[in-house]
Amino acid sequence: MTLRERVLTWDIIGRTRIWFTVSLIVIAVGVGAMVVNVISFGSPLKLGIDFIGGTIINATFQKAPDEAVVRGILSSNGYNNVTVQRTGTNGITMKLEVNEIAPAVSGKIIDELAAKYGPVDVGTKEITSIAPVIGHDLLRRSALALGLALLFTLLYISIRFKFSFGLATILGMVHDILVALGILALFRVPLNAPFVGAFLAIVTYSVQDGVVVMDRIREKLRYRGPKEPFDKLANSAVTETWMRSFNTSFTTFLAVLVLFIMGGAPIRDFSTTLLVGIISGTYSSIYISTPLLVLWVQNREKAAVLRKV
Amino acid sequence: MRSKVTTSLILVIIVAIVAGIINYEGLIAKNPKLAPKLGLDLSGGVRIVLEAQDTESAKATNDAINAAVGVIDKRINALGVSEAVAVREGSTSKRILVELPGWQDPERAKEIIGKTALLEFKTEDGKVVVSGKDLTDAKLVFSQAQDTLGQPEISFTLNAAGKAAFAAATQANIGKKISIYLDGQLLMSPTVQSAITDGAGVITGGFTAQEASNYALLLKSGSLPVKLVAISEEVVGPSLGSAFKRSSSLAAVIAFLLVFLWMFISYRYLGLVSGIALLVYADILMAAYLVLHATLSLPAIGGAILSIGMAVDANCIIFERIREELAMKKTVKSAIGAGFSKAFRAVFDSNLTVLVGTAFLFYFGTGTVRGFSVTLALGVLTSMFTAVFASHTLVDLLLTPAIARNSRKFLG
Repeated sequence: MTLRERVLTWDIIGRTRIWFTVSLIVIAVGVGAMVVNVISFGSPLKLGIDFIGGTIINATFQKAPDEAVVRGILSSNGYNNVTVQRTGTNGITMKLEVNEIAPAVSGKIIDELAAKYGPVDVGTKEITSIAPVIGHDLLRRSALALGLALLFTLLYISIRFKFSFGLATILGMVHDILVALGILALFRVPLNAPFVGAFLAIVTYSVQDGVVVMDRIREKLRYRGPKEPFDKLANSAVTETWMRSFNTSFTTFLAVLVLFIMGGAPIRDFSTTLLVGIISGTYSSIYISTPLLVLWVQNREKAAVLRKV
Repeated sequence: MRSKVTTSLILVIIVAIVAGIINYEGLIAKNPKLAPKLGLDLSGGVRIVLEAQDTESAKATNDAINAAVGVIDKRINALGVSEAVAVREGSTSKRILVELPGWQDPERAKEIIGKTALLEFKTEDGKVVVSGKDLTDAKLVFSQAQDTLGQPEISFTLNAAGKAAFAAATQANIGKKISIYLDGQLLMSPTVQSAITDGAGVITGGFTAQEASNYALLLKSGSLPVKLVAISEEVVGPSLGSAFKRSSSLAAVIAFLLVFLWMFISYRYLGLVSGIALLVYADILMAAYLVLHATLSLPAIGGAILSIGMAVDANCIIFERIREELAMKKTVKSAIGAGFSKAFRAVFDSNLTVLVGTAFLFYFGTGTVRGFSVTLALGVLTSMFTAVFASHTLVDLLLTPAIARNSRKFLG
């Protein structure tokens, strides 16, 4: 029996309890991490420099600075939360999560670097501060945009399918958001501007993936036999679309994985978020949204039967 | 049947070639009109956030801030920064975000962007007779006069209303002084010798050439209707994305090969089709970015990758469907027909759901969010063409009698 044939025999809906437990554990770990973060750091997620503001020091030296050494120098001056990036051939960008840096301290850091890598190129040294509130405005507005976009997506699915289908899809997406936020909290991935894009991608992927499974259920409902139970129908819908879901997310996963490996440090967090989102999004459309829809429909059908009796 | 396939095939080939020419022009021949537009995170540059503040003379009203954005837009365009952006952070926000990709000097940028640049000509009794909004042109010139030879000056030309007002004012003030102020600072106060009726003149004020050139630019683009304070400025290292930019084409090729390999393992000949479709897809999508000047930033690339996933997804949905139809003992030909038509609804609905979402994200969102939704929407639309239409054409084309007889080989 090939994998394809074996998948068709799986009882996915029958094991709803397992899938829900797995998801609850993952989400609980994430929420736990957020609670720990709130207690020890004051915020559930690690906000990057784009959200909380900070200070950036740019400088170019005669020799190319080594990122690890620069990090060490910053750390010896009391700055541990730093992002260090090479710029150009001999330049370095240091992002410190402090709103102000005393000229004496920044001077000392530059001097220590100059001692190792030769004098600073005249005119390349820049110390600039970024206002912390930028992120908040942008975030609020982006969240509003996302909320409204989701509302209309729900409306669209309700029109093309049924309200219950839309609700199940959106709940699957909420699951993915929780999982992604949980993982970000757990590994203390710093949230920066590109995160907004990664987050939107997760949401979109989740909804798109869900709709394809819902389409199969809708199609099966049209040819539903008089005695055919809904959970069996839904199960064959997910098993029949399982290979497609797997192939799709595996290929997308490959593309993002290449980005992860080759993109370098600046976009590693971005691609990590995407990877988590792809896995969670595929999982939720099969193992969360569909069982939720089954529970909903079965309850209604039971209620309808009771009313008849 | 064959003639229909041929027509479709010609259409696909024409579209692919046109897209290819656009890509060649933009990426290899470096035609400036089709140059890829890189966001600040990929090209580096200066980002400044300005906040509008109330003053006694000018309140930071909604209209005033919107007008200020317009003025800043003119100024940064006059600076010649390509792909510069000036946007309000939100429709009710008092903040204006200015991004100057490729720009390296935040101080000069701030000078030019944040200056009110209110030019006023005042009579001795303090009456404003002509102001900056009456200017049609201002430029840096060098003095030709004997005693000030070679000194930088700003020459200006007034519009019709300004010309009339200036003529009347100079006529009425012969022998008196008319003072010229810029942002409340006295630049010069010459004594009027005779009525000036040609609506042109020069301002001298001990400028350096750089200052005079900056002021001329500012005066030409109009004064800011509200006071703006820079609350944040940031030089983004031009190489934040340079490592990525260098490796991105290689990354794209590797990603494509991996996806193609997996599709071929899973779907054999059909996988081959999806590989070709994906190439055509990348070709058209890149051309669409170039033609529409879509800004490529990291979030936008996220949208692009997602749309690639969706393009492959459309193929997966269709190919799985064809398999199912074959399992029902249909002929290869009818299985392919049924596969495409039945799968179309799933592809259509999932893509349209995403399009609905992106439309609202674009409408309500700002910068980053918009960049994401534009690339994603373009990707979805392109994938409908390549993954559904072009793939169908290619599959039909490959459907030789030999393959039709041997469906196992065809589908793996």
